[in-house]
Amino acid sequence: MTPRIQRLREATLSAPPTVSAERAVLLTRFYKQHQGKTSPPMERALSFKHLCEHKTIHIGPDELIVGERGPYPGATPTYPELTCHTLDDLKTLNSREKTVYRVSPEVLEAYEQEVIPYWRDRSLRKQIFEGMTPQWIEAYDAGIFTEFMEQRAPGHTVADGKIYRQGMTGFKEAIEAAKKELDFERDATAQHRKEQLEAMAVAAEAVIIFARRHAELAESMARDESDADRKAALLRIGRTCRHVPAHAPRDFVEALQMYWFCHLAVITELNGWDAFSPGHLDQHLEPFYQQGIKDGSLTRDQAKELLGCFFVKFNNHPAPPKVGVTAAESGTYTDFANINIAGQTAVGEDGTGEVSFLLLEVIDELHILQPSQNVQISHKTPDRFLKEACRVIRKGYGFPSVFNSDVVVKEMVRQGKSLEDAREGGTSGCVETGAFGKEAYILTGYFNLPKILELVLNDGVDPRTGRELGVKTGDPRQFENFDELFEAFKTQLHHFLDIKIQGNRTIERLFATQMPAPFLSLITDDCIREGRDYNEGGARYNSSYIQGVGIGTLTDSLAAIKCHVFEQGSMGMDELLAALESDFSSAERLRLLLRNRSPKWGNDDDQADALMKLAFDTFFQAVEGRPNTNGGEYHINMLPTTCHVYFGKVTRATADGRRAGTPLSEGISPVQGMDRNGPTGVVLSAAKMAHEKTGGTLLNMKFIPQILANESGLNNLASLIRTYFKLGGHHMQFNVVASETLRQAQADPESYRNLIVRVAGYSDYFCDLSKSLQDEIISRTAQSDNRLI
Amino acid sequence: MSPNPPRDITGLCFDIKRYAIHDGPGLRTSVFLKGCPLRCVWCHNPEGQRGESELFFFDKRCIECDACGQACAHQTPSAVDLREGALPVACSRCGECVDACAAEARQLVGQSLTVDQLVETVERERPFFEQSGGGVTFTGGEPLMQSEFLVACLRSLRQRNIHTAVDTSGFAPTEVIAEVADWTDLFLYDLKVMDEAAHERYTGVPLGQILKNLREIDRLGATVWIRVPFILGINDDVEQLRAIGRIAASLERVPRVYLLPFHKLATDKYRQHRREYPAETIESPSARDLEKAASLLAEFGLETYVNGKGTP
Repeated sequence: MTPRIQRLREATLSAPPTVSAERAVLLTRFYKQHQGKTSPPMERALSFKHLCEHKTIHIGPDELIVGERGPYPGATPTYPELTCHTLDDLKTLNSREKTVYRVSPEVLEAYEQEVIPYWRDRSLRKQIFEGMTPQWIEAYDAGIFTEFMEQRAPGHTVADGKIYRQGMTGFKEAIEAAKKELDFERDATAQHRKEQLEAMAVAAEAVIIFARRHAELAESMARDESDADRKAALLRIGRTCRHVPAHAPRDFVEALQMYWFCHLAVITELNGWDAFSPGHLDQHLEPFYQQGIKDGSLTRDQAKELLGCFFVKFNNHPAPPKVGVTAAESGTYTDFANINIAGQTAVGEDGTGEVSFLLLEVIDELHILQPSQNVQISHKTPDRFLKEACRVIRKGYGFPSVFNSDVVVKEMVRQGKSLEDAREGGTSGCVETGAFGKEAYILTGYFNLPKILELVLNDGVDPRTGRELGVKTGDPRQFENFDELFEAFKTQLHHFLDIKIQGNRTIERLFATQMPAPFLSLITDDCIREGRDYNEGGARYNSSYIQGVGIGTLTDSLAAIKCHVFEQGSMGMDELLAALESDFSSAERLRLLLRNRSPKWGNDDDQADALMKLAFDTFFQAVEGRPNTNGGEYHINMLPTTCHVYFGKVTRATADGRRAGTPLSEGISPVQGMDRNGPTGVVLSAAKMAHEKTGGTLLNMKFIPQILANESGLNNLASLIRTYFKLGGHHMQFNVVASETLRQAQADPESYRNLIVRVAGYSDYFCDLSKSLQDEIISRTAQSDNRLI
Repeated sequence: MSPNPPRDITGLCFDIKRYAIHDGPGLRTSVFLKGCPLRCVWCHNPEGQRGESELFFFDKRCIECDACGQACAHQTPSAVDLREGALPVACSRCGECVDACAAEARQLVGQSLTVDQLVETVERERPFFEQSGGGVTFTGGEPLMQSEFLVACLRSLRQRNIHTAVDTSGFAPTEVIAEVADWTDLFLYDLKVMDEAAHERYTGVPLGQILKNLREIDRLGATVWIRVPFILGINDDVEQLRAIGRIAASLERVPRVYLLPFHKLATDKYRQHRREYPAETIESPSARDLEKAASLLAEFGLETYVNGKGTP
């Protein structure tokens, strides 16, 4: 790490997350004057331009890449047009124990005086909840599903390579050409298209202005700068910002700054999900890198330092905080920007280059929260690269995560995307598949699968609240066989998906008509050609997703019921229901039967895995192909972020022996502690899921560092990954944990049941070992630096 | 070559571990065969010594539901008796109480498996073997104690193109190990103590047969990796290490040598068995001890690695 990067790293790590009211106030003042005077797209474009013209410009010491989301690092703007924080929300943010955001008295005052009075009744969130049916509200409150768009805008999108080939002036020319094509005689939507296109042109101009203001600040700082090196650096920033984003970048630093202005524009315009992401950053930068090396204008070390500067910019942006219940309960500073490394090119060649390796080095050295990064591994990815990635994974930061590029492409082709578009795509957010620069792939909400089974077992009544929520599918004691139970599950599932998707459609229309995103549209194919906004279906592909949560808990619950109630008769349905209702109080043996004596997903057990496939396929069939209102279709993906914890809280005891209120299984990972056949068992089970039918699945694995020690440890990890991917898996991520975690595992063994340790020439589960044995292993972990090989 | 062995031979296995990474090349499945003629004082798998199945009891897990007592037709001591230390003398090890125990407080160590059952189990791991260059390792116990079953498994796996290794003490009749040499791809061959008298004292068996067998399988062209459980005060002196180095270097096919640092992770198991662990007071070697030993062996031109639990 260079001294510059060390200082920038320290600065970003010590910048306190702070709420800034600047954007909210600027926007409020603009809307007070201009609301309703132009078309919605133009109103959005002009308000964006207003922000670009007036927001504070910040250039910090040492920076080589410039531009902040807020007025200074760590400060996050707010988006009252989407969701308007109350004073209580802001005070909670300022005072809560975890992921706290500083909120100054000035911010509170600005909100009280200006922002809240204007937006309280106008925010989109308010309109969304007013537009939902009572059934939707009840299901939402019960925790059957969540709603992504009630606090943030549709985003879930990623840049492709076009911004490195064409500047804003080029986009403006394309807009002019598209306007000339408009046929006012025969096309009834021509006028609407014209408005959209003109709005996009304003957005293009706005970001040029924004960059110019950075150039002016850099030049004025240069005038006052006495240090010759810094003066030169500031002048270089000035030249860069006068060139990009108006024009295509000419070298490595301009390429990075080009992306960064686009990034800032997307997240200033609206607060879309997952911020914005650079996609295949290495592939986009590689030509600039090679050219710089060749003509002598760039060294490898300089490139690495610039990448370090670039990474720090992401980390300067804590996610804009949520409101209401979510503000009080959940929280992460991560805004989910995610960088793809390696993968394949549009023509299917290996995409690994020198910049791919540079990025791994930067990740390893910086070790900061944002941006997330992942490696895309195809059958053509060299082993050398995978092994280097494993070397970083072994450090135990939890990144990079690892994706199967071949399957990611297959998923997109199955959905009807062209092979080239699919290969230029990849993954973003957590694990979500998308055609970069050409697709709006909108996650609409998490869906609580075990809760659906809970409703079946209670004839449609939510046992937590006693409210009649679902369909009356009959008294479960009357089910004669497993098939009858499963039919009831299907009925409940369809019922709630209907409710969820009906709600989504209303929300989609609200965004389409009221919340256009002209800047995002500008850089997303084919919004210009179609004269249509990103939020009304202007992208080439428009996909909506529902994210299934708790497939492990669901599978194990189904397996336990099938095995004990319908096959072995080791308990009656009545007995099971009573035990679930009492949260297994005075039914510990029954709970242990369910937990220890039933087929479990994640062990390469065909019986359990067949039920996973049945449940998965049922969810898939229920969602897949339903139309959204933007001309696209619904698909599923299987990821929870942290929602399996929330869903667990609202779900009572389940038939897999899980106690009420505890977390559901996470991603497609087995139920916590129930994968007892080692990592290969997990991989073989997980690979039985039809990953290509999803837009992403999430598999977490946990290792202690010893297992990955030395070169053969790395090779074994690489083999595990390659095997999972050959078998069709989508994604894996790894926890490599040390002594501290092991101590926690001692205190709370049930939650750490699947933690594997090497014991005596073979591996075993940590929690199966006695305290003294655990103690010795803990001491070994501490000595791991002294190992010979 | 003899005709295919009968398929109904069974073996007594006390564990099958997947993702085994210290027992030969690549990702492996280790099959633990029960029964061993040696009684090494440092033994890490005491549950593998006796050649018959045994009932284990994990008292911390027991919820005292007495499902075991009700399931037992043979008046096996109940959970409460076991907790007080009574040994299951009358027990026929039928496993009924184990099946009945939802809390998993009872475990039957040693299960009978046919060749087909074993092959079917390890066959599931084939994708990992193929990707990593791994395979199946037979260990124990002493796998040569069940040589008929072992050879049948090795033959079946060779037909299926799955790499095999046999982890052995080398203590067996020469004709037995010679037959195994025909069917395994690799021996992991232990050399423990190089002084005749000390060998017998610490392991219970003489050294001569072990060295003779080593030369014999070398003559037959077997691939061998020597494994040395490295134990302070027992075989860490220069003389013994030199002896190991000389023997290894004198073989036709010069083997790799692996030092397996002694560790006390088995202490628990002994407690479980209510047995004394004679090696409980022995210290684990330090990185420096191992480094010295490795460089001493390297002087004989041997490729030397430190491996196993002590230094994963």
